[in-house]
Amino acid sequence: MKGLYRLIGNEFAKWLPVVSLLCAAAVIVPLLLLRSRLKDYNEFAVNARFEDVYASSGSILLFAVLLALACAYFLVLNYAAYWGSKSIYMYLTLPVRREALYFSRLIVFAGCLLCLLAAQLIGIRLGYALYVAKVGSYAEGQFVMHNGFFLAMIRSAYFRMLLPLGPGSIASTLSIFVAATAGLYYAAICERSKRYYGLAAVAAAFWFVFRTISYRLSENGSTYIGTHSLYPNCVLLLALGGFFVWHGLHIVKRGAVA
Amino acid sequence: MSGWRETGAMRAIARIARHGALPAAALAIAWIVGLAIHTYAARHDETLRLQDLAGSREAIQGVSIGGVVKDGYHRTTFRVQEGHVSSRTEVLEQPRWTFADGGFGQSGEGKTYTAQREDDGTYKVIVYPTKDGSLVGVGERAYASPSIAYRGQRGPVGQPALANRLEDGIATIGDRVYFTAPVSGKFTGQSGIYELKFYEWWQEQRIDKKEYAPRKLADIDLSANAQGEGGAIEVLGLEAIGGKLALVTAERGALHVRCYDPDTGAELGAIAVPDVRPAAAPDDAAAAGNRAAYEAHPDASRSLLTLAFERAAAGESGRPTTTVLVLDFAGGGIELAQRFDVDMNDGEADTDSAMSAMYYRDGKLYAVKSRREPQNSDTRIAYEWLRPRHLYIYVYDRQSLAYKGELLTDVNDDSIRLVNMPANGSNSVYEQLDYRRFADVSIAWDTDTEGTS
Repeated sequence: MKGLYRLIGNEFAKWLPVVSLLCAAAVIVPLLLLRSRLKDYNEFAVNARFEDVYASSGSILLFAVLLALACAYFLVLNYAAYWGSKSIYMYLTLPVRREALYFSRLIVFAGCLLCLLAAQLIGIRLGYALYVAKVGSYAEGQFVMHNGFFLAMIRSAYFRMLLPLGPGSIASTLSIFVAATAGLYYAAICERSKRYYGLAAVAAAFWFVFRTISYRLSENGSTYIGTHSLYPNCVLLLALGGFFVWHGLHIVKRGAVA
Repeated sequence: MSGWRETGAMRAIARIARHGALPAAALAIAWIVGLAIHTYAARHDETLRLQDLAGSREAIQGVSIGGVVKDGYHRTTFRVQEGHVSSRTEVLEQPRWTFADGGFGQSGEGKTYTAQREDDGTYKVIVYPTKDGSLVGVGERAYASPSIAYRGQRGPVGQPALANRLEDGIATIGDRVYFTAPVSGKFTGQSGIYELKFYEWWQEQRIDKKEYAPRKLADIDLSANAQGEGGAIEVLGLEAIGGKLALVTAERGALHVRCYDPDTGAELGAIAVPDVRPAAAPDDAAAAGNRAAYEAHPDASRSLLTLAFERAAAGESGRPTTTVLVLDFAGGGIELAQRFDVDMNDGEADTDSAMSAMYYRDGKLYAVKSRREPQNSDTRIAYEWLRPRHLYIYVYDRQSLAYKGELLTDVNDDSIRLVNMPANGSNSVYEQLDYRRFADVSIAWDTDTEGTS
């Protein structure tokens, strides 16, 4: 366990500057974007709801970009071990179990993604405060919706995705997180160990993740024919995630990534 | 390089980096979970309280008024009991689309009915199964073809003028469904009340149509419409009350209600109210006349049917706008238990999702109505069906207003985004899921307080 803890610390030290920058961007940039959207708001203008202002400000796209940057940095860190100093040989000969090597990277990656999500939610909450301050500053606040933050969080498909409030959507968001995180790591491991058949499973997982996300983001529009249960997809994604961890661990233990 | 590496500050940062991973993840998780709990708890923060506008709240002591405020994402069930409002809010995990209540057809327990008129003059009734207010299935269908002919002007797509919506001609007793066409005065021939037999759409080619022909229960003679301009008899609707059928008609202008036995079709009684004069076409309606569209509120347990007719023309001010008739079917026939001529015209009629309930007991009429703010110079919402609406509670003791109150809610906040928006003719602003509205409003005698009052 001590070995794992030290490896996690070592890995996080490499992440710290990047994740700090990403989180700062996730908090601050949406506020700037919202501020420019709200610039022309007054009592004679159309006052859109917070979730619509947020979506049209570009903050959703920003989160996607930050997420992609975090994933790219994770891959860079992985491949850096093969460049220059070839430190992968050092890692594989460390006097710690190879599981620790595997899990340290996965845990730090997952932890950093969680920090990014938390930062994005801070940005949303602060953005709502900014919105209320602006919209409430004229016409005696009659353009402010009562209990508006709660309403925005349950009505926006995007907010429901980031902050699910029901058991099914919590399970769905979690399973997307597990499958995507473990899947990205597994893809890198497969490529390094030349087990290219594993990429087929990763492709399947990303297809299902993509399908789940696009379904959940479009639930508002097509639901008069009824909604589908999210659970079957959760089971599938969790099973794929479990497979990625099990087989990725197996490959790393055999040292085949060298 | 090595010089600054050795400073204390850098060492501290390096320490944080080496030991900060788990605390950072724990903090992130704590914030996410905390925000989720805080947001979920905010579902109870909505406004829901009773405001007195006239009279004393004691007038609603005896009744319990229930209802729902809902949009596609959450629903709040409220109850006004002994003057206090209690509520429970449920957040839906996935959006749930529901058709406008009352707008689609006659809704019942897990079923909703709709009717169409085919080009050949047959009437088709479809019963859809519903779950949580959404249609779940293609529905069973039944046909009735009364031998009636239309001799008036037809609409743009060749449709005849009816007295009321086709759905007003549907009544259900248990599993049995009855139908009569709500014909206007321009129809002639022999109509009737039919008991319908339903089958699935895929059985169309396999069944013997004669077996599924409707059973004609009673005749409605429209031959009086053949003379002159017509308009002698109009069928306004069919209601079920206390295991009997009530046919609402206007005959030579005056309101008639007839009671039929649902098994034999025998007429059990009739009542005429000469000064209530419902008429289908607006040009037929004299200033003193009433609209053909009426409200019916059955009280099944006591066999009371409450019918409400609105005055057609605004006409003279000071005259009551609504006539409410309480009909008692408990004896063999029909008796007029009470009549109210009242004003319940705050704002204007809510044409999008109007909610209405009425209840009569001990000489008192209890009514709940959703009404819309009329258009005036202050109106800044161009879409009339999304103008602010209000839920009013009225109590009339004999002819006088004993109490009027409003249930204050947040529903009108949903229209804020439409303020100052020019009407551009598109309906895209109206995504049903995004607007809260009232549903399932009901009034019942509060059994908990029955002993004390």
